[in-house]
Amino acid sequence: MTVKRVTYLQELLEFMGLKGRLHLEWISSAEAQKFAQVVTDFTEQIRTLGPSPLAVFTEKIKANAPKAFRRPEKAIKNMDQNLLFHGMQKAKSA
Amino acid sequence: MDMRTEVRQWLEQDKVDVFLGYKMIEGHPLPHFFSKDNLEEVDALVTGPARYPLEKIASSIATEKPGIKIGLLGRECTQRALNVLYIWNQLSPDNVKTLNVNCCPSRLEAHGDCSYLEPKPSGDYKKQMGLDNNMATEQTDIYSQEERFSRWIYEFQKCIKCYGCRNICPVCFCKECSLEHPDLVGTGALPAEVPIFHMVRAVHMAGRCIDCGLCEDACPMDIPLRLLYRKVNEIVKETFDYEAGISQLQPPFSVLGDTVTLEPKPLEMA
Repeated sequence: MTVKRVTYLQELLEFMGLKGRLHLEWISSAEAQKFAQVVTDFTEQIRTLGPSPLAVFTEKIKANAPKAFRRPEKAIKNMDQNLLFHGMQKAKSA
Repeated sequence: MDMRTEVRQWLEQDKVDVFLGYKMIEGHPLPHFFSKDNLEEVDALVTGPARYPLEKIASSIATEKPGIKIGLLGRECTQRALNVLYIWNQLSPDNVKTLNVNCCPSRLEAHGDCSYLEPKPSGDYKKQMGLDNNMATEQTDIYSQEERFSRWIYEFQKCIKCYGCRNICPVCFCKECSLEHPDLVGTGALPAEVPIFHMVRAVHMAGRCIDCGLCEDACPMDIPLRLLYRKVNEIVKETFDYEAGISQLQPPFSVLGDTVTLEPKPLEMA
């Protein structure tokens, strides 16, 4: 089930211009080396891709939104933290 | 046989308890509930390019009154939507009878009655900044990843979060909607949280979207939703060999185990 959903989401993200920022790998708790390798590789890939373009646009939208539509500062702060790419878990615990 | 005669017969012979069609009300063809008690109203039954998700109305009637026999005007997209609703047990095929009307154009038909036949041409600014609504999904391949992203964000940031796309969608039926869940999508503020709002919907449309185009028709901000969901359908077709609406098979995301064998994608080192 996971592989189906993640493969689907990877394709969708590629269509929307966020290619390579989602990765799925099965690693057993006994495979410490594999874990280290995958994390290193993925970190390297993300570093090559640079910062998420989402952050830039969030700023832009925030600046250009008509005053009446602007969110309260607190909500903006939460929004940045809630971005999917920074993890749903974080949003839940906050 | 004439459409009205047939509907009258269905109602008289108790083949259906109610019939969902369109009635001209103050110059607008609006969805109407025809029943045996008001048979004379059937004369006012019309068909035309106007489209409403009648199958969605049917499924909400069926939730209120299980077992009621419903007849409805059916286009090709209605048939596909009904198949999806049967799969998800929102309607029972035994209780639904459709009266097929002229719809999507083909060489065999003189004309088709569908509000989506002539999509509005997109303006120059939209073409430059965003995406042309009439585009084919393959045509977006020419854009680089950065450009795709900025074009989609341009489209999404226009969203006024009216929920029109969800409300009109014939295959959206959940009682609790993720788009209203404060942990998933920020509520009560504009602009809508982009692109999460539309991404969540796109993910939920996988294996469900029947490409009726009602969402894009309903969108007041002219977001190319049909283009997005067409891509959704393409991915599902290519990856899982599944097409929503053409059969009553379960979609890949609600079947445990594999229908096709997938491996996690390897990292692509730049």
